[in-house]
Amino acid sequence: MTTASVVQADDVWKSFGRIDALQGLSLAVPEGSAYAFIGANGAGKTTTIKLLMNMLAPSRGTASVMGVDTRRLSPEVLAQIGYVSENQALPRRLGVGDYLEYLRPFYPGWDRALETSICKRLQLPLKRRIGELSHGMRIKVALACALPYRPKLLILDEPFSGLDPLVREEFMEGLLLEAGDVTMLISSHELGEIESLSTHVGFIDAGRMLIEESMSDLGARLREVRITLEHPAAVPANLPKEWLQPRAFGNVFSFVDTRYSENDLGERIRALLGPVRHIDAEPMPLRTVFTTLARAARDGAIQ
Amino acid sequence: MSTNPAPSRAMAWHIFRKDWKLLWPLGIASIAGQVLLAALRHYSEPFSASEGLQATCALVTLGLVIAMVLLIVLAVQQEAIPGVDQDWLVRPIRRRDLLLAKVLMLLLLIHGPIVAANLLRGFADGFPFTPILHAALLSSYACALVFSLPVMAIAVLTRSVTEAILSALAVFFSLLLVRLLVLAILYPFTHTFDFDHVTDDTGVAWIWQSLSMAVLLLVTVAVVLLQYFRRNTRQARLLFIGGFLVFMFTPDLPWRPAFAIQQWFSANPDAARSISIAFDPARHATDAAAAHADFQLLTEDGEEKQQKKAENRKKHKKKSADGEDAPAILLPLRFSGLPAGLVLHVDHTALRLVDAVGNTLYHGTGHVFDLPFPGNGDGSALPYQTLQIPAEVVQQAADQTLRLELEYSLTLLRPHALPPLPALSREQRQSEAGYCASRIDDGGAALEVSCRAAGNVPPCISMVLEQAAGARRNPEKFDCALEYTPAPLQFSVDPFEHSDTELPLHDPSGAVHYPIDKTQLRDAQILISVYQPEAHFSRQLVIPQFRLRDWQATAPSTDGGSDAADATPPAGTSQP
Repeated sequence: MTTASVVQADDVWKSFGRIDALQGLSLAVPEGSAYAFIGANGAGKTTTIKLLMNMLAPSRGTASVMGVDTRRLSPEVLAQIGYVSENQALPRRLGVGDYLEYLRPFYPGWDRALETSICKRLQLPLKRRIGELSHGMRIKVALACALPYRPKLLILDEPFSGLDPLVREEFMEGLLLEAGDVTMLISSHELGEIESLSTHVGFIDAGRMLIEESMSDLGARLREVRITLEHPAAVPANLPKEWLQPRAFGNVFSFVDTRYSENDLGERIRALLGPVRHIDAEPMPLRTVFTTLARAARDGAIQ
Repeated sequence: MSTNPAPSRAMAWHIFRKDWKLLWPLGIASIAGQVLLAALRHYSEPFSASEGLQATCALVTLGLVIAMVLLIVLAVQQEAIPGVDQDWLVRPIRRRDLLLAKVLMLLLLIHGPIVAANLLRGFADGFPFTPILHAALLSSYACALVFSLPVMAIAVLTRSVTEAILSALAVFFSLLLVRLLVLAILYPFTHTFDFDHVTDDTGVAWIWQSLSMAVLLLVTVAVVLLQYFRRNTRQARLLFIGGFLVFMFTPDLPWRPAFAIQQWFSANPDAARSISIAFDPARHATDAAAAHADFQLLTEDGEEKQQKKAENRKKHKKKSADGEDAPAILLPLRFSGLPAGLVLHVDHTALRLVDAVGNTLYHGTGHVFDLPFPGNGDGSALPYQTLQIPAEVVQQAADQTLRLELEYSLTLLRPHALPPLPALSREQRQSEAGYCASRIDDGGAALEVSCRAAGNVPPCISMVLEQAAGARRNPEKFDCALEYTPAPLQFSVDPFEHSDTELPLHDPSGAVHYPIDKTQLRDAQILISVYQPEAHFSRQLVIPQFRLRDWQATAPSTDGGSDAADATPPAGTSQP
């Protein structure tokens, strides 16, 4: 059974002059998921998100959010989407409380009690002007403005950028405790922060989606394999392409297996490397997955 | 908790209230500035204000303009349109509501106060409600056209006040540069540039100006709509620049189509049917001054400007070998079939000199002139027309037999007398000229007459000082800036227009004695006539054999001779 996608992009291209920021990107965020959208700097994450929010128009291809073409996002659809971005330009001259008061009538589902609770939890200075706040505090204001109407989709674009650990924790608390039943699309470099809540991951490189799957599938098929051989190790010439980052030192040979299968791994290793003393296959944290994939993408090992 | 979105009007009002919370000091400054300016203008009535008051008005106007520019730009840029980081873009805010909120701000903080302040000023000046309201609304519309909408268009294309100001300056100077380049191409080897258009200072100037204004209106509205509903800044900026180029060059469109359009607006085209123009070679004048004495100028200002323009052009054209300018050509004309009681105004004369093989040696314009009520009873008049032909053309072709083609654009004006005004009067209501008042000027040399109206004062009036009991009159004085703008298109930023005329009480040269001087003003009255266009029409005159040397005027400043006595060129005929 397939789950309906709340966010869908099909072969989307976006060019800025001669530069193709997105090159046929496709993406699907299943309903109820927490989708970690990861990639190196300049990979096209922010461009994709701005395109999904109709802040940018695609050069080619189509994208939809909640079943509506992003070029035709109506106020009714936007009223169900929460958005927080490190670049979000909030009205600097308005006070925090004034801005919340201003936003309320636009959202039929705005919950005053929830707003109060969020503001209290995030310790927002309601009387101060937004322009006078620190970057971290402004991000918290953006979160406070994105949750009280209980959005069905929450899009977070580098929400932790520039935040100290305390604010980051407060942000995550606010998010996890108050967001409720929501589909989330999070783009972040703070992989440690989002790993625990992510159910799906999409890895983008140079404007293309290289890997997109559920965290459980990814965790199951990606393993950091460490082999102790009977003899000194060397990187074989005919290394399988699904083995990334091969390293040999002493009798130890290590690599990242992107098609891990417990059943035939030992057999394949022995066939390629000879007698084996010990095989150790460990699941990888998201940070390591990211660095491995990013390096492989940079080196052209995956396309 | 509500479940339905609030209605559009409510949301527009909600956005406006948010803007007001942020920008109320500028809003108050705008409203206060309007009221203060209206009050200052009221106290400067009816005659020209003192220098101090004028300077105060200028300062208040400057401050007001700055406040209004800041108000419009900041209000629009609370939700800046260019860019991809603005928070409002991800909010469920209808673009229509946003635009309505900004329009509401324009109406309530800028145009509403303009109308209100002008209504107050009009009431204080004693004008009745309907004309004041009409004039105030038109004034507000004019402000929107030339000020608010262009400022709003710039605001929707930029993200900050600094960017808006710098962009406006950049666009202005770029367009100026384009204009200079175009002029440099059209008029090479000149040191200065003439920015005038062919219809400037003529009655038909309104046609291209109106078209230009329509372009401006369309462009600014299109830019604003494009930005709010499509958010395509690149396209909108191109449209803005392209539109301004069209706006800038529209008044450069040629004379002939403008006058053709003007002819559609003739109130009584049949009035001109009998008029014809002929060349009258038997009447030969060599003295330009004597020739000019034959007819009276209706549009002195216009004439002076035309002459100055022609002189400037001539000055900056490539000089002839000896560096001397040629004397003017004086063309004796015979107008016949002139209707009694009307004034004929020559709006424009296009002339073309063609040599024997059909090459155009020169094309230009002749001087404007007027024929007042035909005095000789048979509906004819015998004026001379001055043709200023460049020296190099005269030098090259003075003795050649040429064909002279003239195309006249003409207007018949019907005078309409208003009730007389006592020479020394406090303000008195006039039906068409508005409120008029008179006083002796500081030096006692002239009677100053000032008329003002809610809306437009008639563009062409004449005044004459007359002894109430008798028929003695001082010379008639015209105050004409002819313009034929149809009533619905007559509007200006100032809803109260002035007309100031000075009636001299003695001849400044001392050559003529004026019957009514300062001592007789108590029993004198001012007769005011308004001139309204009756018919616009054109005539062509072709003189198949014309020798420039035969018709050169002898003027003290020139040394070009005339041997007109030998000339017996055949007469041309006019073609209606």
